[in-house]
Formats: sequence, structure tokens, C-alpha cells
Amino acid sequence: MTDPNFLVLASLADGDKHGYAMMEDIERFAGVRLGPGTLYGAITRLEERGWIRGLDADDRRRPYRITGAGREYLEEQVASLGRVVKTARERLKPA
Amino acid sequence: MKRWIRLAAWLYPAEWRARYGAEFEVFLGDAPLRWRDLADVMRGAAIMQMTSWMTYWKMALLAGLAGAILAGGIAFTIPNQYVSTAALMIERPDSTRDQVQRALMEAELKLLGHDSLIEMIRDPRLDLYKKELQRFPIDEVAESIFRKHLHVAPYSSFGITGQAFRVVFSDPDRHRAVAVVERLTGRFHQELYHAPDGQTLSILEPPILPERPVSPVRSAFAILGASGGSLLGLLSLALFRRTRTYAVVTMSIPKDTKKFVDRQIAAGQYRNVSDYVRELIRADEERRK
Repeated sequence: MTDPNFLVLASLADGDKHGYAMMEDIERFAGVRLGPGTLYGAITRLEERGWIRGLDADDRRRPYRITGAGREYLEEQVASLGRVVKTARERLKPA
Repeated sequence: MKRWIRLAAWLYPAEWRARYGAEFEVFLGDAPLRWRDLADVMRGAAIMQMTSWMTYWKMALLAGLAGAILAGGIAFTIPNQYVSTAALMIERPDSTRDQVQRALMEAELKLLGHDSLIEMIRDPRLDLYKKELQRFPIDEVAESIFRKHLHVAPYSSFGITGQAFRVVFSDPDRHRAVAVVERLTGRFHQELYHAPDGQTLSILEPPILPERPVSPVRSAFAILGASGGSLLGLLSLALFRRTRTYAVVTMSIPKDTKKFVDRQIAAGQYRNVSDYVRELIRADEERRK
């Protein structure tokens, strides 16, 4: 749940965001503060893999958008995580 | 603090800065930063440096430089060795070569024998092996250290009645080196000059006070260190990249299945088991599309 790649993709899933907006968003929904190096490390990796792409910037704050491949990867990760969460929840139920 | 973090951002590779530098600068201006972000940026820069292609050159250069400094430093901890030599010639008219060589050998056995070495070590004028004598018994110093640095070697023949030889001694102190050679030259002279059958000993080259040490060759150390450092740096980088790109999966499969895979590899279709499994996964991915 603290994987920066996953968090960045999850943040971009509901719309384009620039670096600082992602940082605030991730802190809000996941309670995790990604440091500047960690956040831009994830952005670099995700862009290299073609899972996000940088858009033209009006100012120097470049927004990023999740790509189809990125959304597909995020869906797989969410499904996988969902199975883990479901199993854990079931096992936590009192017998 | 922001100033320090901005400075740390310069540690990123140039090609990364060309792509992300401007927006990263704005990001650093917008975001409320903490001291630990400085470490985070430095760590990020180090990772980016390790994944940039230019880094192979930089790594080779830096690791080579580090290797050269380390090896050079080690070379400076090794004491200099100065070699002093003298060349002498024994002549014995009306004798065979064997007789000449036997006379030389007998003198050598006597002058380079254990008692002779002990006597020289004990001589305060030669000032030999002070530190070693504090740690080891004198017999061990004579046999394991002194003898290792002292040689009498054939030089060249002069007809059948003459044999030239060199007395060679190496020591960290050049004056001590020449003093020992002078002492031995004198002893050989005493021993062989007034021998029967008209035997004579002449000094072809008197003992030399060495100007420069023969070892360690510090430039060779530095070159070796630079080469080793570069190689180690490049290997580490390649390994780092490989572990970042590839996940390591440990699998257990039945022995018969393994034999089947081995047969496919032997048939030349795959390079190894990993290659086989990767190909299966790629095919499955294609099928699912």
C-alpha cells in the first residue's frame, strides 16, 4: 500500500495532476507523504514504462495523465489487492 | 533548507534534469519541505544516477579514481626497498671451472651462514632489524627476513678460471643496504684474496649507494587499482540494474519436468530455464490479448 508507483497511478486515476497536487492527494487518501525524490522517482519510472505521460504545461507545473496501459496495470493491482483484503477480512470474522 | 534541497537536485543526471529539472524546481518551491526530504532527494538522485546510461562512464571513472587512490594509499604504506649491489670476481689460475665454483660456494656458505648473519644483525654499526627483533627471536629474523633480502648470484664467467658474482642486499634504508654489501664485500675479499694456488679476488663494481627504491612501484599500484576499481564499479552497476529490472522468482518443479526443460535447452531453443519460463509467459500474454 505504500508502493509509490501504485500510489501515483491511484492518484492519477481520477484526473490529471502535477507533482505537488499528487503529493497532496496521496497524503490525503493514503496517509503517506511521498518525499520529492521518491515521488519523482516513481513519475520517471511510470513514464518510462508508458503507464503515465506528461502533458504540455501552461506554466512549469507539468500535469501527468494515466495511460490505458497504466489504468490496466492499476486495475490488476487493485483486483489483486482486493483478493488479499477480502481473504483477510473473511479470516478476521469471528468463528 | 530549501536551498540545500535545490542544491541536492543538481546531483541528478543531466539528462534527467533536462527532462524533469524545471518542474522539479517548481515542485520544490511549492511543497512544504522537511529536512528528511534532503536525504530523500539525495537518495532519488543516487538511484537515477545508477539507472542512467551515462552513468556507466561516470561509474567507471569514479570507481577507477577511488581504486587508484585506495591502491596508491596502500602502496604508500609499503616501505620502500633500496637495493645495493657489488660485483666481484674470483680467479684461480691452473684450476678447472668446478674448482673455482666450489671455492666460491664454500666462501658463500661460510659468509652467508647462520652464524655470520647473526653476527651482522648483532653489529650495532649496521643497525639491522631493530623493530623485527622486538617481535621475533634473532634466529628467525636471520633466516626468515635477513636471508630473504640477501643474495649472492653468478654474474658472468671469465674463461674457465674466473667467475664473477654479485652481492645483492635490499633494505628500506639505502644507507643500511650499502653498509651490508660493503661488509660482505670486505668479508669475501678477506676470505678469497689470499687463498692457495694463486687465487685472487677483484672488485669489478664497488658497493653502490642506491638513489631510488626499486619497490613498491606506486604508479603500477595506481594503474592496477584504477583498472580493478573501474571493473568492480561497472560490475556492481550492471548487477544493480539487473536486480532492478528483473524480479527473482524461485520455483519448484517436478524432476521430470526439469528434464523436459533441459532437453529443450539442449536442443538450442532456449538459453536456460529462465529463458524458457519467460518465453512461456510472453506466449501466454499474447494469447490473452
